Amino acid sequence: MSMSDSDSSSSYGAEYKSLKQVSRERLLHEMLRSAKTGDSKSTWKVLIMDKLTVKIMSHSCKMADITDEGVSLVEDIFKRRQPLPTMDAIYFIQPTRENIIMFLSDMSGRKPLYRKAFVFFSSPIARELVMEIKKDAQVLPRIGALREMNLEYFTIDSQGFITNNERALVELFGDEENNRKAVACLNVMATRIATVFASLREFPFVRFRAAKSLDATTMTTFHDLIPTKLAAGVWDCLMKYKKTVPNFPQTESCELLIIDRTIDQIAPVIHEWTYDAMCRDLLNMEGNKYVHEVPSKTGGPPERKEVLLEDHDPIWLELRHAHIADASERLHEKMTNFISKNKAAQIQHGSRGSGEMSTRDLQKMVQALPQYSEQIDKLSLHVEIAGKINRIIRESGLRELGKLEQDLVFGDAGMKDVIKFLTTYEDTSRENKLRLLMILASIYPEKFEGEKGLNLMKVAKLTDEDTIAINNLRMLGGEPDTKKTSTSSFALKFDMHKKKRAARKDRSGEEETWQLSRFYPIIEELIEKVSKNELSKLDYPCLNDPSPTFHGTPYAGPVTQNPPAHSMRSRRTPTWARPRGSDDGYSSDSVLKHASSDFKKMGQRIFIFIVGGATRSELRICHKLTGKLKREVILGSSSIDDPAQYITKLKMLTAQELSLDDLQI
Amino acid sequence: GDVELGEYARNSGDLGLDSFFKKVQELDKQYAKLDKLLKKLQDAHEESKAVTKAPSMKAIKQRMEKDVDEVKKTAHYLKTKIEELDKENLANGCGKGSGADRSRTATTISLKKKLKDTEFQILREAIHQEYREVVERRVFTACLLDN
Repeated sequence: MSMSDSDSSSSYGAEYKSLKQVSRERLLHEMLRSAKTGDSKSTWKVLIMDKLTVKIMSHSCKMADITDEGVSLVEDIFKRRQPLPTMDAIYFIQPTRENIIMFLSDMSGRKPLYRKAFVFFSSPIARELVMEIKKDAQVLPRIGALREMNLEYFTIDSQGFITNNERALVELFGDEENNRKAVACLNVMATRIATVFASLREFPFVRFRAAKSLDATTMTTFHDLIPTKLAAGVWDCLMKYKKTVPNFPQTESCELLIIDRTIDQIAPVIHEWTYDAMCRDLLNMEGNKYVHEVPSKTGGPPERKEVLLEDHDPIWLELRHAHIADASERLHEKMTNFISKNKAAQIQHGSRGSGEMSTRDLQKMVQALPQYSEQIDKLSLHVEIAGKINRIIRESGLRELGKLEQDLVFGDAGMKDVIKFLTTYEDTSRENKLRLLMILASIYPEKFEGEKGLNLMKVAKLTDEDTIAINNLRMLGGEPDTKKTSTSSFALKFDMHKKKRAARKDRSGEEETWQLSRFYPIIEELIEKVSKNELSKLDYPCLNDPSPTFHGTPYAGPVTQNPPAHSMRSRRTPTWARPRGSDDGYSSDSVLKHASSDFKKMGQRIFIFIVGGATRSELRICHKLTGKLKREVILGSSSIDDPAQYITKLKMLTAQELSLDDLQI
Repeated sequence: GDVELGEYARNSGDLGLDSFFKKVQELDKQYAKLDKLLKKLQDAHEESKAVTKAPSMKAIKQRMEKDVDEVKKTAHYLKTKIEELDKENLANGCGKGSGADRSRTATTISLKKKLKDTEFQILREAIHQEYREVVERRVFTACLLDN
């Protein structure tokens, strides 16, 4: 018996909402707003969360949003808390035994900490734990709600989520013999993925990458079965939701494809040239936070100011997936347009000379003032950031490296070019050299075997620790094509001597406007195949495939003719320059609503889940294909990794080995 | 039972927090009143754009003047009360970082933010009012010249 009684539904007839919007509204309205006793309208409440749920909340809502819903205090369930017996409490917690013990001790006894408790679990709760709660005769009358919220993921974008399994790559692909950690990791991941579908009220076709070594001669490893096991776990959860969650669809309404990091080992390390990816790659950002120095207004030393690059910033929202060169150009144009159009800027920049300001001018300036203050700060910030990135690109010779990276991927460069680069640009940073060699190792793994590999590392002047990262790429499997090629006949080998291997094909029809923008991650092809119902059933089986006897058009939504690719040079009217109504107060909700208006008349959603971490380039592709396919494409993963984070995790795949070596020494 | 709970509430020093929230509730009512007045002014402003006859314009002007005065009075009251809450928060016996202290701080910040947003709307209405007065004087001057 499940306690779930979430009663809202995102019906298709209603307004189409993005994942972030749905999550936000469920947390703020379904949970915080609904938790009230009938007697008073404006009672302030306490919100109690655990380590994970506080992050879930902060990824979707700001503190101001929470306060607006009547929460005046946020508490950690495991910290000592001051009794507030005249206030109601909202618990948003994982359904763990420890949390329930804490909750029961709070609310039991003669002196409970709070007047009434409204409890929301982030995922399904085990039956025996429900019985524990029901056994407590003192606590029961003090419970105002006991529900499964089924929201246990972090929204990282309007179309992205992570399950916060940061160690998934190590636990699932590491060389540990013991699978216990791996199985636990998969179970957590499956539960959290399923809560995404519970929140959106979507029931997917569940497709997954099949194990590649399914023949009698080779033993199937645990690694090969990861997508299979995860798909089964998600399926189990969905079957339960089908019975327990109100308004959960009974027939399939979208697509889910489960893959892992082995499908593409280049995307995590190749330089991605979009504004968003460059910010994280080159600046020292913490999450979405960027710290910069602002000249002090009082003439003192510069102040450190923190800003968040997130969806509430319209400039960021527009430019983040643009090529850095495009973003720089557009920022310049925005500033020019802004100064010429905004009344406050005109007056402030002295376009009328030194004449006295008339009442009419004052009126116009005051009317434009909120826009001016808001936009000039944001514009100045982004102009500064873009300038900093461009300077770093110049100073570190990133353009030459980027060109070589892309040439390697498309088969226009090979081993010799890499060696030449390493000797010519000796002052390239260690990290960049390592990333270059990792791309090479993905395409030509045999070049790094034995003595040849060691020599290559010497030329690059990399450390033994760096070598571990390259060697561990093997644990994520080589390209299937590579194996076939390596068993080819002498004639083919001779031919290979001339022909360079390509990890990607140039895409016809795609307009390449900016330098260094040829690269695309593998999921772009996969998503397009999902959309056209062209995924190979052998490589990507489906747990709930439509019947083979099915006739007529495919169930997977209308396959409309793809519109021609949108040129990056043709710019829409900048959103900030549009005149606003005088009573249009700025709020983050209005930005989200503006974003979601584009989702009208969309086809069925497509979800891609990557086990072991996803990249910014993959997130960009989901946005790109959403516009192209007219279907919302949502990226999920165990985590989102920057290149440095990915390399660190890769080294940890054989952490045990390292410590053993230390012991020997 | 309830008696014990009531006694416990008084003993815990929570009484201060309870009275704090009562004050906040009163301020929320004033905010609602302010929002209503600003909406009324907005409507009157739109109405005045369509009016051509002097008597009608005069009537609207009088209503707007009355409402603007009321808005200023209410806003000033809110500002004063919020400043009082700030002082009270500093003086309250709760330890810094305690639940009650953080609760007071978060709520007061929320009220300040609301006032800041509202203050700007008030300024805008005041500018509108002044602008209309200037226009009236010019019209009067033009009439004299015609005669």
